[in-house]
Amino acid sequence: MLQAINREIELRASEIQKYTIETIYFGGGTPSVLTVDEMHSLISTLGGTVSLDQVVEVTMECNPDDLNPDYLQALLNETMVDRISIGIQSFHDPHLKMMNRAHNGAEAGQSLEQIFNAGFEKVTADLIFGLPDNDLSIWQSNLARLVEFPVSHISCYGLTIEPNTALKHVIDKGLIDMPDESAARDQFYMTQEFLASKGYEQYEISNFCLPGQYAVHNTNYWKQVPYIGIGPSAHSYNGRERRFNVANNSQYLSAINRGIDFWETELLSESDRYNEWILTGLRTKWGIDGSDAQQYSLNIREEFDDAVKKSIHAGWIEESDGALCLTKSGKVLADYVISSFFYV
Amino acid sequence: MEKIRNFCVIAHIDHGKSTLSDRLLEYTNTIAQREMKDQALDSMDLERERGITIKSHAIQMRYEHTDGEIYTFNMIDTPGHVDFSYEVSRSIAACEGALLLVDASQGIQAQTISNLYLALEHDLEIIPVLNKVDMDSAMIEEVSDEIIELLGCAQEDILLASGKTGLGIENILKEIVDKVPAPKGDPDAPLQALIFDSVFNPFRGVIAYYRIFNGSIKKGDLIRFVHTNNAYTADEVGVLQMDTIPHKQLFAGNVGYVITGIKESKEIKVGDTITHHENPSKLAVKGFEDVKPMVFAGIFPIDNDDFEDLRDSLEKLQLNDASLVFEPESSAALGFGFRCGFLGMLHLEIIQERLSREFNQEVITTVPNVSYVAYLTKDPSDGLVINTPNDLPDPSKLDRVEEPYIQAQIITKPDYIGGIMNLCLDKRGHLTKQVYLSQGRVEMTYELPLAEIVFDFYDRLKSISRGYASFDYAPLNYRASDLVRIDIRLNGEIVDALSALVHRDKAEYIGRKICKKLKELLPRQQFVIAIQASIGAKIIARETISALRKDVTAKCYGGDISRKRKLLEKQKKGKKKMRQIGNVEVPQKAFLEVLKLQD
Repeated sequence: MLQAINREIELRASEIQKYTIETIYFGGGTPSVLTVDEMHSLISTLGGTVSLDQVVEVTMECNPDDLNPDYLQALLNETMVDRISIGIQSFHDPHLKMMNRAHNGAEAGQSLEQIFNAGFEKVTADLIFGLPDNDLSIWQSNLARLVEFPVSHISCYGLTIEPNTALKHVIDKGLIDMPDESAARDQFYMTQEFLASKGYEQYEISNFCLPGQYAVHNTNYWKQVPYIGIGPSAHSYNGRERRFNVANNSQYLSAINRGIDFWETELLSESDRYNEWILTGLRTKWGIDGSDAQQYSLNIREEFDDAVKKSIHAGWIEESDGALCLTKSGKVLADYVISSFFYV
Repeated sequence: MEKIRNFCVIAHIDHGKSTLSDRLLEYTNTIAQREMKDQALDSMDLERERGITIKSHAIQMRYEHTDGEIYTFNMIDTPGHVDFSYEVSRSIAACEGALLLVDASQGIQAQTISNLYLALEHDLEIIPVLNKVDMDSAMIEEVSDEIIELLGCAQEDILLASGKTGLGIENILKEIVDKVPAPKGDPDAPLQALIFDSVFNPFRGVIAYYRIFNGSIKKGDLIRFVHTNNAYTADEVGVLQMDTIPHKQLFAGNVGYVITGIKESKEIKVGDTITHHENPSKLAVKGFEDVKPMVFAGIFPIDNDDFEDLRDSLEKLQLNDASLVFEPESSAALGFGFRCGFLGMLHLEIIQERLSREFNQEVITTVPNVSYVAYLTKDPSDGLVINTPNDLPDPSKLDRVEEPYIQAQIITKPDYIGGIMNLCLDKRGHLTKQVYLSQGRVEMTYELPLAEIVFDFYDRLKSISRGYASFDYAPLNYRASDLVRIDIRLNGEIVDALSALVHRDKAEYIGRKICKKLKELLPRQQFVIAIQASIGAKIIARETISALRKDVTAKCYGGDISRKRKLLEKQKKGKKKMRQIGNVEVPQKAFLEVLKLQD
């Protein structure tokens, strides 16, 4: 697989060279199974293709159970990785078990300790709320435990039951109760209040950080900055077009080896671009600038103006300093509000 | 005339009529193989997709018989669905013979039998054909026994065929010459021709298809339609092959078309008789009926501004579908729309689909109902026709209400008799006859209220019998019935478009089911939605839809963005098809689905 990924970088060299690379993100799965040497070789291939002088953030997603002090130390000292995203998800063992995680709560705490002991300063951790047992106090203790560490950035994800997942299956079979929406909403509100009291700013629906410690890479997704995704299932975006690599690992490998196309592309129409602007923009604290709607055609502008009026009336968005932002009640219904803006 | 053979094909849906017809057209070189789209006769896209023939068509073939003579074959295609049974009867009346086409793996179905009876009533010579005999599942002996039982024919009279492989095609053509009688009639008598179908052509107007029984018709003739009593000039006459082929004159015994410049298909009634304006025939062809719609439903634009566009579209549809009727209707919930009459539920679905496909009109179709007759106490002999629940007079003023009954024929395996009896009992049916067609097949005859079969009767019949039941019906009469109107309230407000007329004994049950169904169909909103069913002021059922408290995607990075965008776009599209009633958003399909009560 690593060979294939290196090969993809080579194949797309001319495309990559068009850009100034600002951030690198190793994610989607468990890159922490890679050895430090393997990480090093990946970054070298990239560095041989395009200048990495302007890079300000290199994040690596890690599972708590893949980490050890030596590994972390070597990662920090010998590679460009300077930011760790750790999938804590919970400190509560029954929850971790329910989500089929390999680590337990104690190991989650140890892995955070190791990360900070190794000297990483930029650390983000994620937690999941809205789990089927609906317990507010467990959620609060999760948050409290996490902020005992000097994490600069926190992602809190509400559980969504996706089709064709193990969780959906057990819920359908009646083995676990469907999470209660009101409880999930209360947990979401509590997250906002609790983290605010600890100095974290909610700069996107699911993302909180200490002053100025935004995730540069993720923030760029929401600002329509182009990106290149390498590897199976990775998505790329150049401002006009999305490209997505085949998701299946063996199909990806065989396509790369046989030199045939391993991706599909999708040209974004005007309404696609408009919809994505709404979708990504409204979720952030910066909101959307109403005057940016002027670049779209009349039909879209009418839809936009109508939705703005209705959403302000309903109390879901508010205008401040020329930007339209979700209110507290708007955030909890973000998808509902966003789709009301959509032009289809 | 002795070289003409007029015949139709009687078959159940899926028994391979279209494919077999195609083979006949190929064999007689009526159509070159390379021109052939599968199922050349089903010309509407919708027909080809649904694999059924909605409108009948006629086609002429030339066949060189073993005696070296050239014969003219007029094959008249018949619609394959119960909604269109009158049109079938007129096609049959235009023929001397019929191919009875039966799928060797499925056996005879109810509708085939009722059409066969029609053909026998008209003294048609029946040529039984066992189709799809090449399939592994073919039960040639068993199905042959059924045919023998029905027709009293001999085993060797049954032709074996396969539309797929072309097996038996030549035999069929031979038998048509040998068995189907040549038409009789006097070419010198006054013109008497039966209209069995018409089609709308956007460039040429309405084209009428007819069979001449007596006399002749030529270009330029001044002709008269007996029942509508309108006169026209025959601008063009001719015969139908893959296209219209103009002729100077057509004579008794033949099948052809006439173009008169008529712009609306309403003016041409299937079953009417064409004669000459001067020297008319004294007799019209028997059996004319003004086809009446059986099922009524409101059709409303999703957006009130589209009302005029909807009217235009319906008018255009009516140009080539005279059985569609409509008049303006207004609903407190849905605004202005049309109350439309249809031949049956399939017809209703076809119209809805054609509005969407051909006219890009998304509409709301309200709960369908049949046509009732209400008699008031002050004048109990004069009935009022009720085509919409809201027209039902106040119960205190009512003497009685009558509802239409049908006679239904159900053919099934004996194993399913019990289940079907329960279903028909539930549907207020009354068994009048039960006959074994063969050891493995039984025919049940029921009298049922039409209203009961409009909804989910067919689906339930299919599921009870695991597909081994076929069903056909014909209108019977009107009978007194204890009807009540169920009203549905959303957050207290009555939605007139959801009202339904039902039998009193079932009102509570149906009310509960409707509320449950609506709970599934209505999307959650940011407030609680109360759904209630009531009879008059009395609430008989209630459901509550809880408010939407949280609706937010957790992750929105890279690939999530386009996935989520597409998901929300889909939601928004669905929402655009919803109608705001009070403060509640009601999806387009809710109105039609609400009475599909099966779990």
